[in-house]
Parts: sequence; C-alpha cells; structure tokens
Amino acid sequence: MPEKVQYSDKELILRFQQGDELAYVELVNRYRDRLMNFVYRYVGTRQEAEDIVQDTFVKLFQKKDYYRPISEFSTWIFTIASNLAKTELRKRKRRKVSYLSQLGMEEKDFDIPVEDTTDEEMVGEFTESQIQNAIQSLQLHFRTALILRDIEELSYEEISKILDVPLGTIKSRINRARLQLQEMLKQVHKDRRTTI
Amino acid sequence: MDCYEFQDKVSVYIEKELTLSDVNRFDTHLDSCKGCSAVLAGVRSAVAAVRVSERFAVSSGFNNRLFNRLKVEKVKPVSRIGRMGHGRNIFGYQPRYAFASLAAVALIIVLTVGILPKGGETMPVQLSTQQGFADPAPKQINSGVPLQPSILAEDSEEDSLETPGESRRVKPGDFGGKIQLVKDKKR
Ligand SMILES: [Zn+2]
Repeated sequence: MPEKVQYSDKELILRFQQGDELAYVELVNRYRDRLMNFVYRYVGTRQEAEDIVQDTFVKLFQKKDYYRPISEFSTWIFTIASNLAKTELRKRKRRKVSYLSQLGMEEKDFDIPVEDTTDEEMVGEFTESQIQNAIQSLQLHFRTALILRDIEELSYEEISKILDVPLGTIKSRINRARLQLQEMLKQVHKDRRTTI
Repeated sequence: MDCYEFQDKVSVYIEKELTLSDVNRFDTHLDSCKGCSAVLAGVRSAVAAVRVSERFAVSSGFNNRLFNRLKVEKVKPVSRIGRMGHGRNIFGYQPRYAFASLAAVALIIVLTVGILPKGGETMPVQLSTQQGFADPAPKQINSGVPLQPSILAEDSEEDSLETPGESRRVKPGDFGGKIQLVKDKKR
C-alpha cells in the first residue's frame, strides 16, 4: 500500500478480502484500542479484555470474507467483540455459580474492579477515578450502550445492531445511563462540599 | 409537559433530535422547573466528562502477539462461498489435495489389479505407466501455485494463506478436471 493514503475502513477490509495483509494490519492499528476500551468495560480486567480483543482480530482474519459492505465495518467488528465478551461473561457466570454452590453461598453479581487511580488529575469538574467509578457502577447493559455512544460516538442504529437490542431500547438505555451517571456525579459534588 | 417526560427525553433534547414544537415544550418546562434545569446541566456535564475520560488501550507488543498467534496457530481464512473448497475438512486435507490423493490411490489400485474403469470397459495393464508413481499426483497438480506475500511468512505451500479469490475458484465441480489431469499424466 502506498504511504500517506488514508483509506476508509471499508476500503481496507475490501483490500484485505483481496489478499492485502497490510490492510489487515492497518485495521488492527485502528481498532485495537477502541475495542480494548469497550471490552474492558465488559469484563473488567485488562488481561481478559486484551485476550478478547486478540480473539476478535483472529476472527477478523479468519472470517474476513463474511463482511459485506452494506454495513459499517465498525458495526461488524464491534459486534464480534461484543459477542465474544458476552460469551466470556456467560462462562464466568457458570464458573462462579459452580464455585459458589460448592461453598454453599448464594450468587451475587461480580464486582468489576476499577483500577486504583492514584493520579487525581481533574477532568473538568471531576477526577478521572470519579468518572471511571461512576461508569463502572452502571449496570452492564447501561454501561456498554453508554460507552458506544459517548466514547465511541457510534450512531444509535449501529449500537442497536452491535448489542442486538431494539433501537428504542438502546435510546432508553443510553438516556437512563446518563441520568444515573448524573446522579452519581451529583453525589460526588455533594460529598466534596461536605468534606470541605 | 411533566418532569417525567422531560427526563425521559433529556438525551433527545441534548442531541437536538426533537421537533421544533417539542423543543418549545421542553424550553417552556425548563423555564419553570429548577429540578429539570439541574438535571439537564448534570447530564450535559456527565456526558462531557465521559467523552474526555481516560481510554483503556492494549499493552505494548499487542500486534506482535497477535501476528505470532496467527502464525503459530496457522489460522486460515474461512470462506463463506464454496466452503467445500476450504479447510481440512476432507480426511484432514484440503479438498483439492484429498481428491487428487484419492485419484492417485485409485489409479494405483486400478493398475495393480489391472482394471481401469472406462465406460464399463476393462482396460489392460500398461506396465510402462507404473513409473509415474514416483511422482505423486498432488504435487504435480499443485506445483506452480504462487505463494502470496504474507505477514505471517508461512513456510510451506499447504500452510499458505488463501485469498477468497482462490477459494472461490475451488468448487466441487472443479475436481473432475484435476482427477482427469492425474489420469492423463499417468497414461
Ligand atoms: Zn421538571
């Protein structure tokens, strides 16, 4: 591929379908961090998230021929990642149920750990850790929809396809996620005022 | 408009996807409701915070690990068209190899037993053709297949990546010609 030519995602996948492996490398470079950021919100650990992102690109390599240009490439690749992440969560849930039943304990939702951010750099009026904690406190189906909308800036239609949920439900989930986030961050403000 | 409806559609309002008449209803409500004004400001601030928040990125060496995995696991593309033409799904070989191998084995048996089925006729054994066994049929069929340049730098021909173009060319109907080629060679 000639340098400094900015190919669209669709052009790249079509080139890859024709056997241009450099186009595959470019797609990996474009999407690895976006997918990581998304999948991490699902599974909550870096190692698992990175494994799933790697699996996603292996699938892209294997199933490049399944992509059809009628849909956005971003929708397609995020759908693969989302499905792999969901499968991982289901596996984890089965492992957890089996482990807890051995201990005679009842099932409780996994807490997704938020990495300790000692760096308290302010992002607008909140610290980074306050924002991350608030995002991670959202229920999974709110969190994933919110990330795709407000971080990945995908359209509602794309998000609906990726998460395989009706458009109206996606709109409602994103709205509720934002309202909950607003509530949590409002609480942060209140707590700050009482400690000062 | 009540507070419930306002908050139910606050995202639509922020994203400016309301009709003009709805915008007017929202604005009228905002003028008279401090609670919803605070919610609107809070949602705007939350969305802005999320947008600029830290992104999680893959660790360094991600690409190397990925490409190494593709190489070590010998990952091959799976075609959606002409699936028979892909993968080690016939006796552990790709169909073109499998059919060619079967043809060669059949020919060995035929020549050994002395019966060459052709239109129901029985053919006499031709000893001179037996020298042809020194040169395995699959190798001949596939010689000259170009290896494509690969980031995975595959070593052998069988492990080379197949492009969809190649895979589409291999269809069940194509094998007849290749079997015929083996027969022609032997004879
Ligand atoms: Zn109100």
